[in-house]
Amino acid sequence: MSQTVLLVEDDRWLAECYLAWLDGFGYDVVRVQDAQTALEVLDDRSVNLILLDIMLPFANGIHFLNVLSSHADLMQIPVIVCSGMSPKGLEQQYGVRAVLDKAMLTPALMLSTVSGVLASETV
Amino acid sequence: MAGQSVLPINEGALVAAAHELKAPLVLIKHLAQSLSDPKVVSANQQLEYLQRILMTADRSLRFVQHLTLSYRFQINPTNTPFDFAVEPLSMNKICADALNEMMPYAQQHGQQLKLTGLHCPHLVLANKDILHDIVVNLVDNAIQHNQSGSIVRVAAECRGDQVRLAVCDNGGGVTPEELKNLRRNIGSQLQPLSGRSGTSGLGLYIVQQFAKAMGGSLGLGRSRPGTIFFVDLLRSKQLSLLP
Repeated sequence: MSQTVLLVEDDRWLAECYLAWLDGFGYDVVRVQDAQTALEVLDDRSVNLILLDIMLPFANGIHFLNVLSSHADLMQIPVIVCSGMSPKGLEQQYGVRAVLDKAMLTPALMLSTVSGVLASETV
Repeated sequence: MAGQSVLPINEGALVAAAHELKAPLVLIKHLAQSLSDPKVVSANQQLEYLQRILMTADRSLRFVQHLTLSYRFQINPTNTPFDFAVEPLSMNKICADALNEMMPYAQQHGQQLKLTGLHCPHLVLANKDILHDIVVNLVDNAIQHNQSGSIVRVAAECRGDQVRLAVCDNGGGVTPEELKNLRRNIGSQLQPLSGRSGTSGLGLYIVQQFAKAMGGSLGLGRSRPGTIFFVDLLRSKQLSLLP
């Protein structure tokens, strides 16, 4: 059974690229444009990993991470931040598993990071 | 370079410009990476991805051009070295031309552009190219923040001695607090909006500089669930002979 990635990215064309990459790697992808909708998805279904942008409309990615941290069940879901802002300290503060700089991102890097994080969760 | 003065650079504007330019460059890179892998982009999607790359590149180039011009307006408010022509223009025609130009970009985002409420027989006193750029900038801003499958509405109306160009979207709106701050400071400083991610407010700052250079102003209001941006420009006393 394939694993499900929740992709939180508001740029439509960029999200389509990431969705196509992840789909090509064999993951099921649920794509949402904002943090509020992401939380609604998490209420409805389980996901194996969250790929999170930081610059989001209304509540940004940091707010989303704060909400996750305050729920015992949600904070178990591994999060990879994928942002153009290269935020620092998210691993220590929120337990983010990896931070990807969009400018340096390649399909291969996304695959190795996503598969590496998911593999470490199942050990 | 010899003989050329060095323009002072505001650090905040530089950071904002860098951020606004980075996003389309990242998008171009990732679209190209997708395109280079036949497993990611099927043969019948290739043209669409190529069009997106070209549109994003055009958008970035337009942004750089507008940024340069607005900066020159800002440091030289009398505009004496530029001496651009201001003439009576049909707002309806300028809007129609700009929307035609932006239509493919809107369609790629699953959106429609509509001219509505063009009840203005008067001409506007403006520079043709700069007014066109204002419409394009505001429509581009609306497309970026509109919901997919929805409509960007553009309207012109006469208001006393002025002609108002209004661009309305149904994307992330502004909070009442932001609206208050924006009305006080719009165009005079960079202001990201919480409901409109990925922007530094630089596009609106550029529009304000353009409007100001032609004796006009930029304003905004709430248009639930979205936002309406408008530019007021001086009306010509000459009536349009065209519909």
